[in-house]
Amino acid sequence: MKRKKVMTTLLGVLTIASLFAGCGSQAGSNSASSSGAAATGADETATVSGSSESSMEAPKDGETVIKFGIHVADPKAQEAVTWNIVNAFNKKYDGKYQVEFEAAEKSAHDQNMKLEASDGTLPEIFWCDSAQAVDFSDAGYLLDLSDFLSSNKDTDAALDDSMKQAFQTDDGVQYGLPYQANVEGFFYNKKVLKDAGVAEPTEGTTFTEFLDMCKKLNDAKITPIAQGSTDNYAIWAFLMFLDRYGYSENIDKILNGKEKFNNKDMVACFDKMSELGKAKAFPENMSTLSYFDAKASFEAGQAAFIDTGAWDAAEFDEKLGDNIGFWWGPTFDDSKYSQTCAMKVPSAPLCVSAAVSKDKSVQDAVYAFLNYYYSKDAAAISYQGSVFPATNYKDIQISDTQYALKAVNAAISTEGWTSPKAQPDQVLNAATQTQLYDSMLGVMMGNYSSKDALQMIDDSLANS
Amino acid sequence: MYWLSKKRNIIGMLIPTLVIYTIFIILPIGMAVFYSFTKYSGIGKPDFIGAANYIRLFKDHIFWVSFKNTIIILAVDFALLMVAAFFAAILLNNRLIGANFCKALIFSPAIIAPIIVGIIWVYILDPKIGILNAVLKSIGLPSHLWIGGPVLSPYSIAFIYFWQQLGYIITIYIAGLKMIPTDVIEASTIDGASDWQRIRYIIFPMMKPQISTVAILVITGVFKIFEIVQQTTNGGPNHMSETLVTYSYSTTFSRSEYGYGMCLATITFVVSLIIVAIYSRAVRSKED
Repeated sequence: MKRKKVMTTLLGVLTIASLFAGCGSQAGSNSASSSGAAATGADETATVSGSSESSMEAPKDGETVIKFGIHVADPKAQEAVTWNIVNAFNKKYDGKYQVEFEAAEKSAHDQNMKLEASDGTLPEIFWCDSAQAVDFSDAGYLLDLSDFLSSNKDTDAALDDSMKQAFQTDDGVQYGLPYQANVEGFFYNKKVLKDAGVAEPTEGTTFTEFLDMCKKLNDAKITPIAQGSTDNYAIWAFLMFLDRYGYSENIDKILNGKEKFNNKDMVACFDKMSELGKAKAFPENMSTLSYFDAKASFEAGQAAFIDTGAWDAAEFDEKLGDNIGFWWGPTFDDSKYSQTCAMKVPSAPLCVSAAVSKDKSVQDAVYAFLNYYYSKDAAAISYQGSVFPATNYKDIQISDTQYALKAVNAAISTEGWTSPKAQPDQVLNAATQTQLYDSMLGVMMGNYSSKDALQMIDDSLANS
Repeated sequence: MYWLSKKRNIIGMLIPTLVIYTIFIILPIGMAVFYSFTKYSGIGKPDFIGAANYIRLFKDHIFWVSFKNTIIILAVDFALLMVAAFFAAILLNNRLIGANFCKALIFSPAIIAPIIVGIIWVYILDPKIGILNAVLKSIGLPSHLWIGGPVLSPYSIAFIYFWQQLGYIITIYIAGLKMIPTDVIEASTIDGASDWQRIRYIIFPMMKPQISTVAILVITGVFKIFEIVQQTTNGGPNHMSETLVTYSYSTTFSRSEYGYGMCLATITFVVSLIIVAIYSRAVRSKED
């Protein structure tokens, strides 16, 4: 009996010990990931980001280490430009400053930032979803970067006012600066269009002409537009539709309650998306396709157009070479608003933790990084990686083999075409933004009428 | 044994479990209920808004779609798993050639991660690339939107869950069958009972504890289906295939409406409790 008792007690102790050991190691890895403590933090970051490169070395004595929270799990592969900029910065400031990534895929990153904000362990710099950045700012988690801009004139000048204003509150707080510039529209496969006997679109191509193109492509057994729906945010090119029906002109009135989403201009706009669905412009299995599936089908030559942004330019260069073209999308005869709309807008902001101001050496490191991130050197790295930087440096060359980027650059450079101050979905809170995506996809797939879809956005805005 | 029979020692042994249960189960439920009365984006402090989330919920069309889908999945899976698994267990409990191989085959989906189950079934049920529609087309039958359409998605999800859980439930039933004394079965055979009479009057009554366990497992399991929906339809198109759990998740984390999401989670918890209570009461009153 005594032996049994001893065995039971031992087993109990072992169980509890193993449980706490498990908890201990979990806590250890969490704290490393969130606080970035020296060597452990570097290992964790390297693991998460898939990096074991020597360029991401462990910090040296006397180096100030700052953390960069990024919205992809593997920055080296998924955000190569940012990875290269950080590497270049680390080399330039070797022995003085070092930036480490805290990497997680977007939804995990968003949640991590919320949790880390609540327990005071936010990374010094982090990519922030636009819809959430204002909430972070209102809750006092972000540093006002107005002082940074006023004390760093070169960086201030390198960012156009529109790029800065997108992340300012009404009372002038600069809660973030753009991560990159987003350029969005339709990329198309020239060869696929040619084989189907369809002429390439021009910046004057109307919606009616586009419907005709879709019909010809369907006749040739080609999917007109590669479009998925399971990644609901992937509706970038269709944001242009909204803008060509006066979204940017009216959104302030809508958000202030003086106007509704469910108005005749937006109904006409949503009707066009509905017409595309009825014209079989989208894949038959759009409801189960992701953005990445859609992109794969476009790259395989199964679809003529894809709704995406310039961030895919390098990939298209590699897969499609000089067969790639870029188009802002169709114009609409029944709209009274400007049709010469482009979509070069600030992407989500980089934000700085308010806690940075408590430590002069950390603040200096953060400011040094921001100055480098918005420098001409960093802009050159961006263009090399086929990504448009947020800065306005003019004399950086695009190479002849950057076909997609050249096509996009040509579209941006068209005289008289203007972009809205912000990407249409980025001015909404998270709930309304998600409902906007859902409503747009709903009319494309024929699940919602235009009026119902718009009413849902109004309801979401009222509830949030 | 004497040591264990002392109340003081029993309490001492229970305390670690109770502490862990309180921290990881009771406290989160309490927090979820608290947040369900707030408006909260996950950033800053929540605003107390009373029962507004619950009032909103009853007017929310998507909530009712999710509720309907969950009930469809529950009804289909309850019927299939309770009945089909029961008879399959009886069949597999016999000494048939290949019975062990069949047991292993039927149990194998239960050891696959639900997210992988979802991926496998996408390749079967997808309206364009799926095997099922390809087979239907090849024999001249019309194809259907098994997933990603407005009607069939919850039934498809129910079937996938049935496929995944069948082996697990059969294992529980077989364990129950093994516990039935063989002399009782032999006596019934000598008395001339037919197969159906043996099942109806001997096996079924003696398996009631296992049947009750399976019923509770199926009910609670259905209310936890998440990965299969995420992987096959992601709740789409336009929330038409959402279940209560996936809708709660997307509301909380995609829309950043933590308060409303917790309200949905609380209601899901209450609904599953009510269904389990109804079932338990029905079974108990029958026994009485």
